[in-house]
Amino acid sequence: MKRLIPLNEKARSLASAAGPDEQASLMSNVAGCTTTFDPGWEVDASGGLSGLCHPMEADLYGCTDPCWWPAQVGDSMNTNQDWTDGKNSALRDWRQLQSLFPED
Amino acid sequence: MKYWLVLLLAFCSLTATAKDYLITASRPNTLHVIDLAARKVIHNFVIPGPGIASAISVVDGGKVAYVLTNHNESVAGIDLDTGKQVFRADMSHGNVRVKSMLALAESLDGKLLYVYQIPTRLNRNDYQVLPTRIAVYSTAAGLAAQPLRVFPAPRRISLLAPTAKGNLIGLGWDLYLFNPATGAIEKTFPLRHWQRKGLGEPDILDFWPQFERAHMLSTPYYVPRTDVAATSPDAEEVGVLTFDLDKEVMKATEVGAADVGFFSSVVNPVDKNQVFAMMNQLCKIDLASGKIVKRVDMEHTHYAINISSDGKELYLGGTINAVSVYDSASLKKLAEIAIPGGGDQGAASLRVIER
Amino acid sequence: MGTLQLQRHNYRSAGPASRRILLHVPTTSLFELDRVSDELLELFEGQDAISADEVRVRFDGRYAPGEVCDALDDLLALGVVAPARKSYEIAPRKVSDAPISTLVLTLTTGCNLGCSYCYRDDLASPKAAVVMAHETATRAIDLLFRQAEKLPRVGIVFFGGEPLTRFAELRELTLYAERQAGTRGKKVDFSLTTNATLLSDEMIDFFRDHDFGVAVSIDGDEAEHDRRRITLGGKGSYRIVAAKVKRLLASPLARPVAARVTLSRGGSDVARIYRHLHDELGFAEVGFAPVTDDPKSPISLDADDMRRIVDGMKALGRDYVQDAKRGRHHGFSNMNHMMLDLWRGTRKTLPCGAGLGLLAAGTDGSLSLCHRFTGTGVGVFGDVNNGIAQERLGEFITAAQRVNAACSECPARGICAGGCYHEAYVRSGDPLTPTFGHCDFVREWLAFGLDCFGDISAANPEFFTAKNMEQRNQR
Repeated sequence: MKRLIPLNEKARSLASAAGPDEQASLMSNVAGCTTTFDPGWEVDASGGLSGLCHPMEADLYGCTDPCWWPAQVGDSMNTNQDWTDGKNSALRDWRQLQSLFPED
Repeated sequence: MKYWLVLLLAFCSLTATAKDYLITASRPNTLHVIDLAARKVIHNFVIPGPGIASAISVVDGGKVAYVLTNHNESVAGIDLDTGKQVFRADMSHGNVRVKSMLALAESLDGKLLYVYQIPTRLNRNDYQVLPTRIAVYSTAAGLAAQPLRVFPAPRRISLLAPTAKGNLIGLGWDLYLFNPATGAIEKTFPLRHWQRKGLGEPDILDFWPQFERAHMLSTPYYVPRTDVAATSPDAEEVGVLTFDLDKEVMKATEVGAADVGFFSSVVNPVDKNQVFAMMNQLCKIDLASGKIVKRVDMEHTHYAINISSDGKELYLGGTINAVSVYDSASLKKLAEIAIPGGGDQGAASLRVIER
Repeated sequence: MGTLQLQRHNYRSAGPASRRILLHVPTTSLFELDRVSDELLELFEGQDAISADEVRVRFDGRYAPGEVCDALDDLLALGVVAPARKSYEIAPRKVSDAPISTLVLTLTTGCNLGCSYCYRDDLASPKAAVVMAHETATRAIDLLFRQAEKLPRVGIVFFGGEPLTRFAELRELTLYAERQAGTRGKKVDFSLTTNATLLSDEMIDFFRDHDFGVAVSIDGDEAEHDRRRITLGGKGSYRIVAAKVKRLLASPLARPVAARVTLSRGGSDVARIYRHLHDELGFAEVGFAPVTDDPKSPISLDADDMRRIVDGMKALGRDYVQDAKRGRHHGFSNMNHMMLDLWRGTRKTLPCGAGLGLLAAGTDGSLSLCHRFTGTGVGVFGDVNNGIAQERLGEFITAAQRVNAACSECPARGICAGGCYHEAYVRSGDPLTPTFGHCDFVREWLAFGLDCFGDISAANPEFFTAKNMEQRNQR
């Protein structure tokens, strides 16, 4: 707030809440958290399948746990931490993995 | 004289009984200790708390494995004999969420634990990205461990390894050699910023610490050639980067056109020019000639690879629920050790230690 | 060139022209407008759409362009003006697990009074009462402790009927809860609502020793009180209540004793009732609530009654402001709550804590949204044997967050959130239909509160300090 004067607690917390940074910074690593949106789960770099992991289930939790392809697989590091709970083997339990929808 | 003999005998028996053990993890949040000679999983220790076990640090003769868990926000130290949690560092506090993207390592004497941390302040309206850092813990800090000190570290570090000279190497955009006592970067070995004729920026993603047997950090990399047309089949090369943890020397060796995908690699402790790398195929690479000298198809993808102390056996893990044992000379599969419970190993580390 | 439009649904202003304050409705933030922002808002309030030129023409030469731009930035940031309709809707949050921290125990359906406005469907004479079995009550307490595993304090409210008709049981349960709390390292806050007719010195000592919060239902002086609060035989109860209250208030309890006044048709002036209960009988706090009843009932409040009541509450509120300006405490509970809500900036998506932190156990052990629903058969979410029906309760709480279309423009929506579930249930048969009959009064009361807030904060800013406000909250 530049000219309005906060009078209650909520207004003070609203006024002190940071606005968006002028400069965007990457969250962290290339691995981790919505930094990777390249294709990869569907097709390999040549548009085929041979460059992907085999079987594809072998790659599922390696991508889910470090939030590697958050658009294609669930992000069990942050937003859907319990997505894989009880489904300890992707090969065996993949049918039980449910689709995810944004909640809020 | 007699005392010397006793000491010598004791020493001999000690070295004679030192055996290779493989330490890895699987779902749900379980640490496994495998007796490699017996091809047997001897311990399955469940780590307290939520999340899964991913990166693991453990040193030769070590009693405790330090495991990243709790959705990358905590490090648990698990006693390798009893399974008891003897160390715990919960890194997030208040509205600051602290994650580690799998980079943690002990000093060679096992007294200090280095954890690369990515803090983010979760404000009401926005997330504030805070500077990345390395936190130094005493491994004796117990169950409410707080860092002895922290020092700033560049972004994107996904592997840490201690050197024989007491320094710490971190793999990020470049290789950074930290003096962990002062926090200073003693030297930067350029990767993204290298200026090599005919080559562009290398592309590296590696968070598998597999340096302990040969004292050599290694990783596959991919690099575009700038001296051929982008449409040429030779336009992308695959190479192996090694960093000698004894001598603190880096070497990058291209080994051919990028017709094969690699996740990670390991150096043979007996012949340090010999490197093994894999994803869907297991390859033997000769760094002296810069060639892939042998390759075999595997039954399924592995992320992680490690090697026995005598260099004779390769262990392949990660992804699903088995560790495969291969002969390093013939690349023939010798055995498969099933992970009890059948849970996926995912991106868990695969460490081989003597104890 | 674009224009900006006023977003009336996002703010209300209050106070005198010289010192306007602004309520930001989506967050319940309060701001004071300075001269530039006041005048800028006035410009927007006078026209449907404003262009950059119109702003320039209005302010050129009188204020620095930077000042005007800053004021405009603030109004834009709050969504008070925007290029197109701007709404800040809070999407209902899915509640899948709602642990409770406070449990109301309906010890009995029996009451020794027969107040003519009582909302309880299942009220009975003490002889015909259905009582809660000891076993049921201890299970309910056990359930509360299991639910509140992570909390340092829990609350138990004894309710009825008249809970003091079962004082021996109340005492047993208090001691039981304290033992349970002791082994778990927790603290229990006990409270009780009573008609006070059965109070004895023994009981008063017990309540003092166990830090009870006591609220007494009493409607005013003898004439007022005895209109509705009558014995089963039809006689007034004031004399006995007043005598007992004097003994109760003779030596202080840990928490100040509050009077709860029910306002029904044809009652007397609020300020007069307050003076009697506060000044003459000595209650520390006096709170007023309109009677809950079907609008067709002969005791329910009509428009004339409501007008009279709101005028009375405002008159009493002005006394409160005079005291607050001088730093003195005033015992008008409704005003204290309003000031606390405005100071904090309470932004409700649910009208109250019923079902979200609080449940009430009926005599049979069934769990209801709150004490008002026990015995109605409506709003039952599990029982003390099988636990809380989390899924259905979660669905209810999620549904309750949905904003009724009629509320989306209301400046009081963040403070009212639709009103009492029970009131709504009695009036319309549906707990989730807003209590529309009260809307004008709720808005009027809020507007009055805003004026008072501005008035007090200008004259005595010390009043709105965390320390003072938290002290008020303790009461």
